[in-house]
Amino acid sequence: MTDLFSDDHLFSIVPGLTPDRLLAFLDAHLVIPVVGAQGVAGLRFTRTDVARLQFLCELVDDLGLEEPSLIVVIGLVDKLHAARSDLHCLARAIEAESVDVRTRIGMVLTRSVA
Amino acid sequence: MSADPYEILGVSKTATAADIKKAYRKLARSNHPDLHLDDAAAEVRFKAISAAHDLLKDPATRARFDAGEIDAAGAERPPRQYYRDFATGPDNPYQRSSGFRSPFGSQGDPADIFAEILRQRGGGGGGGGARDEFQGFAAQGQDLRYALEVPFLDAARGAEMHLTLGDANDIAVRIPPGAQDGQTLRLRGKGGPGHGGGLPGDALITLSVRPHPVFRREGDDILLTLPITIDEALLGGKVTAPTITGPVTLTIPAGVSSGRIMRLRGRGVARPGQKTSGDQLVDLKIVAPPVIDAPLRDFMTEWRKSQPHDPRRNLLIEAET
Repeated sequence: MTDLFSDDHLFSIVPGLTPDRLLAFLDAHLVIPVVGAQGVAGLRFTRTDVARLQFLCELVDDLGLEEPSLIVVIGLVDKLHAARSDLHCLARAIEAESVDVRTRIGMVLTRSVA
Repeated sequence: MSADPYEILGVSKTATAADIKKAYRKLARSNHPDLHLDDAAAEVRFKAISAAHDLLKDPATRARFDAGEIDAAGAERPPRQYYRDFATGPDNPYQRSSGFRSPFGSQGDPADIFAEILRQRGGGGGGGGARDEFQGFAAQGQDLRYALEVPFLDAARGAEMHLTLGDANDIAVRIPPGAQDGQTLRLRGKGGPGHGGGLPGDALITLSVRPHPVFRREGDDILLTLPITIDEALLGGKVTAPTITGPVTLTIPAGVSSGRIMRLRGRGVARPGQKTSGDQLVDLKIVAPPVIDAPLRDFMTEWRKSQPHDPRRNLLIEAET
């Protein structure tokens, strides 16, 4: 079963997170809570959200980012993860191909880098 | 951790609070695991840096450390998971990288797949979770997230479920075969309405798979414990075993023991994008009959007298070594 955390629980496990700060993050759509579909009242957060919120708090507290730059930075980090994820999928797809196809792709890649 | 926190932060023992903060920020910037995705050692370095900062940022604890009342180990932080540990996975709702995986779009044709990636990267479709405030005059609607509990068999076999979204708007959700606990489905255009002619956002549905009383799941394999009788174990025979797609006949070889695993190939969970499914692993468990009648007891009593077999012999010897 997937663990879901309530906002009250978040404040005890994410250092630096306050109700005001969470509200600001929610308003800026920096985190998107889960809406309980089956009789769960209030907002719920996943483990990914917990790690993301901690990262956001550290960007503010440790690196001194303010909201406008925070939005830019987390947006770029997300895009970076998306690009890496796509690259990983491509690499896996190529890995599953025959030696022949892999060699041809390899030749094109090294040529375009050179 | 026993290293000197001053040394870790690269400041002198007489550094001011501002110096410490400045040194910490600089190190956090160059060592935070979520800003250095491919650096496996960043985690260890950042942990040490954070612990050193925790100790020195508070004048009271710093004074106690300087006086030798506490040591650096007291400030060690518990292990944690970083955003990067989740972020690259296909289920991270904050990165729009479902180009290869969309259960609702076309799958398989590389041309479609690349067109989809370019559409997502092109800017017209909006960024990730952190949306830019303005995209010309049109802004895409907000993504909305929902939790959906899925019965075990529906997740394993695939199913259609209904979900009531915020504004009493009932939609059908296709659960792909082999759906996993924690997987997130993206329903394009089912989120918040767009602004100024922008596209609506997406609905992100995180699945949690309900446990099953009989079946368990490990990746693409289904695990089942199957009770068999003593005579089936000794003589072998055909028995009926449940699978996620209905009962099948299983041939038990003669002379099996409890704990023998039998593999039913292709009776597990469908693998997305592959022709073959996982397997069902059947764990045999010998069960004594509820009533031991006189003939069985008499036979066993006689049999015991003449049988030197001791399955624990090696166990007892090995236990001594």
